[in-house]
Amino acid sequence: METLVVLAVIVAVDALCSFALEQYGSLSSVMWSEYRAAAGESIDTVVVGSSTAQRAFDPAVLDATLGTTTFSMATPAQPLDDSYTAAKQAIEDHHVRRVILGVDYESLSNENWAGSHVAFARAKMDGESLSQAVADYWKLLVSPAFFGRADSLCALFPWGYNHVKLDPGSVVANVRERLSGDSTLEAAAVVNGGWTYYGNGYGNYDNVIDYSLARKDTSVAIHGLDDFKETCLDQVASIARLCREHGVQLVVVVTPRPAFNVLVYGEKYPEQMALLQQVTEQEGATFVDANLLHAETYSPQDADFGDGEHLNRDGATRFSQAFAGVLQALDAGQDVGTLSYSYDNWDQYLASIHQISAVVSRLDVDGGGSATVTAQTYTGTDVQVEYRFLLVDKDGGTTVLQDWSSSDSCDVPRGSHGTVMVCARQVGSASDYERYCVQELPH
Amino acid sequence: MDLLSLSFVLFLAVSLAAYYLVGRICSRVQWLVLLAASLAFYCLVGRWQTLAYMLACAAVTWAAPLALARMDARCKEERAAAPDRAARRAVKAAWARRRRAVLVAALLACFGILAYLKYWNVLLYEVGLAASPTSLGLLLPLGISFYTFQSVSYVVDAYNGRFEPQGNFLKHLLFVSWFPQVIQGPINRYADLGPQLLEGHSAKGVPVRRSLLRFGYGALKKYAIANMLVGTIDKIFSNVTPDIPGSVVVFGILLYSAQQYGDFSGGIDMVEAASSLFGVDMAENFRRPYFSVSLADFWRRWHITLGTWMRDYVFFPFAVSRPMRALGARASRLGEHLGRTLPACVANLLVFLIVGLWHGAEPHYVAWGLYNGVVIALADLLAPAFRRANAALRVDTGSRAHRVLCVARTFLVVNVGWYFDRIYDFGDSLLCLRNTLTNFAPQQFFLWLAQVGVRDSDLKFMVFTAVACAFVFVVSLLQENDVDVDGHILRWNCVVRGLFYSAVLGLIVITSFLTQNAAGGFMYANF
Repeated sequence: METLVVLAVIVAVDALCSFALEQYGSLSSVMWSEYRAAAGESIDTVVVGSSTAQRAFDPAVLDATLGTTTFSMATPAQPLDDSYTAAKQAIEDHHVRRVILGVDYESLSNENWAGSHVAFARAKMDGESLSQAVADYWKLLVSPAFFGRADSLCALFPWGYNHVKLDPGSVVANVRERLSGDSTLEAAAVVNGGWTYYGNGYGNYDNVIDYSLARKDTSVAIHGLDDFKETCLDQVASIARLCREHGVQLVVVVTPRPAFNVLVYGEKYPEQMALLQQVTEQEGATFVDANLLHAETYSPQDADFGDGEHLNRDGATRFSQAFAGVLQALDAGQDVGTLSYSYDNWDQYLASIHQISAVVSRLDVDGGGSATVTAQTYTGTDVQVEYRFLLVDKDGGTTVLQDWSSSDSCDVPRGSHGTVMVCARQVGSASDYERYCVQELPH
Repeated sequence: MDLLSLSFVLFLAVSLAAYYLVGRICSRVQWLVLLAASLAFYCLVGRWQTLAYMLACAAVTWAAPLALARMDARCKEERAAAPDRAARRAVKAAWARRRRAVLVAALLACFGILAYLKYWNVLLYEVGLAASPTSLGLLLPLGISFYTFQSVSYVVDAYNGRFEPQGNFLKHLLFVSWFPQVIQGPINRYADLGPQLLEGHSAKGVPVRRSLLRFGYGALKKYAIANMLVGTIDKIFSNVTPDIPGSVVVFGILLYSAQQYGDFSGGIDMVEAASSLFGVDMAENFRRPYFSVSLADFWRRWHITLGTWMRDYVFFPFAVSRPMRALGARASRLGEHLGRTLPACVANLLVFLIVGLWHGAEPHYVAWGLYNGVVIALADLLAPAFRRANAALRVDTGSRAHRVLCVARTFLVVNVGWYFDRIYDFGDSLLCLRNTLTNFAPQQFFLWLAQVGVRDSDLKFMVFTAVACAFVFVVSLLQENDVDVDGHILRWNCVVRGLFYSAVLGLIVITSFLTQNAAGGFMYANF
């Protein structure tokens, strides 16, 4: 009896914490609730994948060109095995005829993040019968990513995985939102400030990337640089097999990002992406790397990106229009491989970049306290770059440390305080800069 | 398979159910369930390909004592048949030589496998004959050091006639492979563990609630302390440069102090708890080591079973060996204290050299071992001087303040040792020590941490670790004062207990989430 009371208290506290801390109005729950709301409608195309896919494809734009009915089942940080689950559900429920799997480098190189698995599973459970919900969650706990790890037990406390910020303000706001009677969708708009829902599972932000912060925005800086994981490639192959077995067309799309965030991988990018292309095509699916599309098919503008990895709304509209053209070509039986540069001819891609995508800097301080700022630009192989280094003091006053020259490094005088602004432009340009970045100096 | 995982819980549940079910039917064969579970666990957690090494070790250490017993019997027969005393003495001496040969052969076989798998590649690398310390691709079996040391103790104890050797190979294999001990010890003795594994147990006598409490306490140490700190420590000591501030080094070493204790003692708590669910109590391996009053005391409280193994099988045999006795006799001419302690000091140096090598063949481990040996040896040698100084200064050595001072001093000495243990390059260890003393530079602390990739959030989340550390400190302090903390908690009102468990579980859940993909298994699983 005593043990039962102890267990009951633990379960009650768990439920209470879930109520208070578990994110109400997560984008996963928006997707699943909207998907269920569309149960009676015809859906013939679904988009699956992580946030890069979620923010790259506007179903309405695709449908307007192709005459299809598309629904986006992509959710933030969606692991590939959850993409499989989503695709399978759509095939079972709607007999879709096309699945678009949007991926980026990290979809295949990073370990699955248990938090997104939990968020996805919990959102899926929401509208299900108790037995189906329990079965779904049990499936998650015994899945290879969880079973042998602490997550398999800790996920019994889902608030630990899919929680709001652990500060009183966020917790109170979450509870208030739950109690307000707002729908998941309304709550999502409140919780994800700046996010707007446009229908068919698709929502996006309007923010525009600040290229001067590229150093922090590169995926390598955020996630590190690893090779693709065999398990991830196997999961892509599983999705492809699932589609093939059901007579569904699968298009694997590497979603667009600013050129600097492709160049930052160096030779790893063509080397690893070629593996993905090989796996995809071996399984009979179509592979498109949107970053390598010829300019006449798709040429993103600087303001199309919300950050280093995601398109914003305007960017997604432009990309979806271009991508609809790719799908039209595919439907017409054309080899879409001819629309883009190939990984075997990587130099051609590098030569096709005619602008400076970003400039980043590094500060080296030697034992004696001398500081040097070194700049690096991400640009095409044929672009000639020149740099200027300015010292910016606390009041915003600037002093030229080194005027325009091809030298990419500059010594900072001892005792300098503030920041160094590194400007970069193409040789022959008269502009103040094409890209710049700011280097903090030690206090 | 993590110890805190659904797979381990299911494995444990199935094993326990089978164990107690078989016990109801026939308690004499209950141990077979433990053996099956142990071998299954080894294949699931380790690499099944390395099972052969453990089987080989078990076979050698099973056969050698049986051979010794047979030799004893033959010796007895021959001595009985010998015509006179001289002949009897000759027979005894001849068989003693043969017995020693069997013992040495068994030890060479056991340590040979260990040395080859653990040290050969590192040795080749150190002398420039291998591309990396792992370039030969040798598979290091899970817990090889632990089962090797445990098996060797069995052989030596059998050689010394401490017990009748086990005739059943499978029963001996169970002693070697008992699954809770195979990850990271403790190093159990046959006389204590063997009978417990082989006798029948019923579920009624098992202290389930205490075991679960201990398992949770271990998980808290492992997840909320060790796993939370490992990433920051890595970032600090993977980026040692000549101008690394001493403040950052000290911070890193203090974190390592907590991480090491949380990882090792937390893991031990979890496996001790798992073992006790089967009614099998393994040897204790930690006794609140950071409350030690001297380095020697620390080593009697930290990794206790390794310390007692070294004491019984290296220290005593070496300290009382003929050359050491001779050394003691010569040294006693310079003073009685020196004559008595010098052999022990040399033996301590040897013991800690081996402890260092046991951790790895890299120079920094050797330096760490020798550092411990030298400090303990010097403390022994200078003990009369310390006593005289205390008397001259009228220090009350029995006072609480003196004890606190000794604990703080020992903590400092232990942490200096961690420099050599954790910083993987011996030169970097010395550099960090130097910078601790000459370039503390606290003003560069946050800037440096940011440069090596320690994010503000990493530091912010350490509040969870601080809470866990405070909890462990309070529990340890109470235990140090002989308070039965588990008993107290179990007597609490069940609602309060439920709330308390929820808080601890919450801490584990949050820290487990924060350290996903960052922390691997146990530090000592590779030993």
